Amino acid sequence: MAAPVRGGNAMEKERSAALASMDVVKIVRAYIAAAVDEQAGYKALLLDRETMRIVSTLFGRSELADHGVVHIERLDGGAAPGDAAAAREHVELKGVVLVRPTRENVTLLKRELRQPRFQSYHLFFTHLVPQMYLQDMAEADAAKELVQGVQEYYADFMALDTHHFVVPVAGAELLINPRAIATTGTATEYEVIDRLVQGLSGLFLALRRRPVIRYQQNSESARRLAESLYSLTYKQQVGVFDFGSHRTSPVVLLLDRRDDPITPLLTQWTYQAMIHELLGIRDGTVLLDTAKVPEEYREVVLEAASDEFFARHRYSNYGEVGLAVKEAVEKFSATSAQHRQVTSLEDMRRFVMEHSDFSRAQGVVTKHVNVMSALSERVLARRLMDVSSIEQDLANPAATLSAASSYDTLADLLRAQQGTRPLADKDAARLVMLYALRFEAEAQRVRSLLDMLEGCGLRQRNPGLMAAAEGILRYAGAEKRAGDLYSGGNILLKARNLVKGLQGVDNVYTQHSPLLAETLGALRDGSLGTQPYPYMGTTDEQMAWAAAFKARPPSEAIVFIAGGSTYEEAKAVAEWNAKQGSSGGGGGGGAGQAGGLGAPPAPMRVLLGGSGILNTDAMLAALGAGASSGADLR
Amino acid sequence: MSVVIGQTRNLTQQFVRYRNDAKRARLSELGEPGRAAADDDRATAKLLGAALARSSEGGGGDVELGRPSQTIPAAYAPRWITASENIKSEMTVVRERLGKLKELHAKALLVSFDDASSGVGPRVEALTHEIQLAFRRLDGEVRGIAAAPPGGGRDGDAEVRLQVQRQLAQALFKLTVEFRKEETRFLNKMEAQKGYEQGSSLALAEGERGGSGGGAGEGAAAEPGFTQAQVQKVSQAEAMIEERETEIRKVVETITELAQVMRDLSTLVVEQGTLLDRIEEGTKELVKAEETQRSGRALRCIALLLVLIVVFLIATIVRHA
Repeated sequence: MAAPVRGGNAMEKERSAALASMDVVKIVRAYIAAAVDEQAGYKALLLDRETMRIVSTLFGRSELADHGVVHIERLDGGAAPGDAAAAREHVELKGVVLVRPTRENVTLLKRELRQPRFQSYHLFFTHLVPQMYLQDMAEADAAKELVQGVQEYYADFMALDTHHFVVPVAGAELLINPRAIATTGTATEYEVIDRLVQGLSGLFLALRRRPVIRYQQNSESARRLAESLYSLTYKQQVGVFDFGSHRTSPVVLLLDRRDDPITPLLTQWTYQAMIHELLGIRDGTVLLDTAKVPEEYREVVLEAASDEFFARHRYSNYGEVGLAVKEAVEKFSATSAQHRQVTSLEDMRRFVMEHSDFSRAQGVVTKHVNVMSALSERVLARRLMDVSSIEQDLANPAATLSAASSYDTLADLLRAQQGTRPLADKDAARLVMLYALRFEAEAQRVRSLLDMLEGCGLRQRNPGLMAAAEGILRYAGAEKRAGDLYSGGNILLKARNLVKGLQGVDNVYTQHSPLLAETLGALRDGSLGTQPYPYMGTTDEQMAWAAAFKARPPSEAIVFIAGGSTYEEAKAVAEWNAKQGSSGGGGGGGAGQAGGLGAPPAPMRVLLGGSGILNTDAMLAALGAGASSGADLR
Repeated sequence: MSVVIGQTRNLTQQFVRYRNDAKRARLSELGEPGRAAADDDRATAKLLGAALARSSEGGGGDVELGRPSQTIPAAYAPRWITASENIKSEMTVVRERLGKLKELHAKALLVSFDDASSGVGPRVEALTHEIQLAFRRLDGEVRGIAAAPPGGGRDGDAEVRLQVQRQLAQALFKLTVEFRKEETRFLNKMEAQKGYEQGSSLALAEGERGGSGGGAGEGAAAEPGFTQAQVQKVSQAEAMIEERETEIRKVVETITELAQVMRDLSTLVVEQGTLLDRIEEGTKELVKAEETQRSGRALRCIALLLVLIVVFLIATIVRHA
């Protein structure tokens, strides 16, 4: 029934192209569309908390309505679960259920099937359904027989972009700080890992591939994730996950956020990353919390699919976006003058023709002007230009810094905290953390900076922030990391960084390129050490894979960061992929700087994922969680 | 029909097997072992459902079986379903007519060389008119969808009806845009073609006006006494002007009409990529948000346009009367 037979060649071509390029947006969209299209007529779509997020990032109401979906609700009653009694009958609608196969959902479904509210039910589960659950639901349906189909569609993760996904999991902070349990309630680290295993194995099925698993050896979370993922996909469910030998030899690399704690701590200057950093993007919506923007325009939707300006400029830097917005405003006011000028029949005809485009353009321009003014307000208020240049120096391996002079700079800033224009607490804390990571060996200077932070009254005002600053080295000090964050040990890398430092830096604020770019380079060159990043499998398998990839590096890589990815990394991956596509290099016109020397080896397509999307606030909150409980960071 | 890209697994058969097992167990519990045994796996669901409903009515007590079967009788189906089905099929008809209109337009543009096809004009006119009427009617019908059924109806329907209305409005809106584009394209082409074939129709019109007004102009400058060709040309020009005038009036009418339909629909259509389009928000809040967010901006523009159109219409009529 699920086998797609119809559709002809073009569709088949598009399908295999999406699979070949691991385009998660197309793949997840296809799952959702097929689920709601399974039957004709008017339908209700029933979702759970996570599938709601998965669907809402890719579909709007009007598009779903085109597929006949005229009612959408949460199986668990949504925001007001107690309100489940208010769940109404819709016998005129067919129920399409798209949920995760959890115990909770099965219980809810059983209740639903015993007291049906819809004409019929089609059940779609986003992962493997245990036999027991299936049996339970079948019993519940025995009286009315309203279930017409049960299928597994593996849309168990959020597709944010063609090359970027998130496994939505409650309590992801636990991966950064086990003490965060205090804030996440009942979730345990075990449950979090379990959810990630589901998301990733679901991804394997969605991509129709079973990649070889590599992981960051010194990370407990990465190792456990690798173990569970391996045992599910290579042992327990071999039948489901075995797609035969794949020509493309994919690899999934499981990293821990602590491998690169810097990226989520830096001020970002490219549009999307900056918006997330300063304002926060929540499932595609942004709240512009500023008096400059009128109330009714404060909550905006930022999606590349429906916003061409955003699609074009999400990776552009702040200055470029400023110019682009200015241009858009000018262009708009020109057309608006022309648009308003209705003096002839011809004008009228044009007016009617263009009006909907016009009001759409007006909405988009207004939105981005408002976003930019909210951003600039934050930048000015927090003196981010000053802060960022210090940050970039501390984060950039190529910058020649002395521990003493950097210390003096920071000490001066912290002393001025009592003055008229103090830094925001989190910015002060951030700088100290970046210093600590960079000059970890200078224990005394680090201690002294922390004392100065405390001297500013940070512990009273914000104990979590103080705890985060104090705990950063325990979380991600040199011995907790596997990659070469500051390229200290490798002379060759250092030389390359120096070259990079000399040529490509056109903007002081965007010098930093995330460690991920280096890691990807090493993975493709076959030079990523099997000691710090071993294969997961039997000894035989490990040896075989190591040998195979030595001979032929992977052509596809899924990099998953336990703890969360960042938009800066998403941008790095987008640039990486663009370069792979046009191996000549002169393609997309992005500002890619990675790689550089020598002829590029065979291309490697990359898909980035994480347990969430981090920004500084999220990172600091996770690090500082449970500070008041007095327990110690592990 | 959508095509799945990723892997899928169909558990329906397995589910049905489990369900039949459960059913059998249930029937034997209910004291109908013979029936249960006779029932094969492929027993028709409907018969069984009915049997179960009966047996539960007789036996009572079983809460799970107490409710009537969920297959809704036609009389029970909400009014909006039939209404929306009607609207959909009407829209299909309009779409077909639009296709036909395009064909006729193409034919009309080919004319001139071949008098046999001169009958195209009236057909175009009639079809355009028909489509316009259909738009007006459909607009009214779409608005009617959200109205509560006369019998009071279930409350839950209101939100669903609103969503259905939006979807239909969206589809209709797209159709009006298509129609408008076709109309404009046709008129532009027609003008261009006339300008090419017979000299600018505008110039002819002006020439005529000059002639009838002052008597000097072109008539005086030319030889005294009209040649056959000249007479023909003048009468041709007159026909042209008349044609043009009615055309202008028709365009104005079409546009006025469409603007009205558009204005109506635009209050129903939800733009993609806006908050209103987000699926997480409850519909109730959406209705509220919609009221506040729908600024008068677009409406004001269109109101202004309508006023202008009326002014122009009057001006056109006065000028040519």
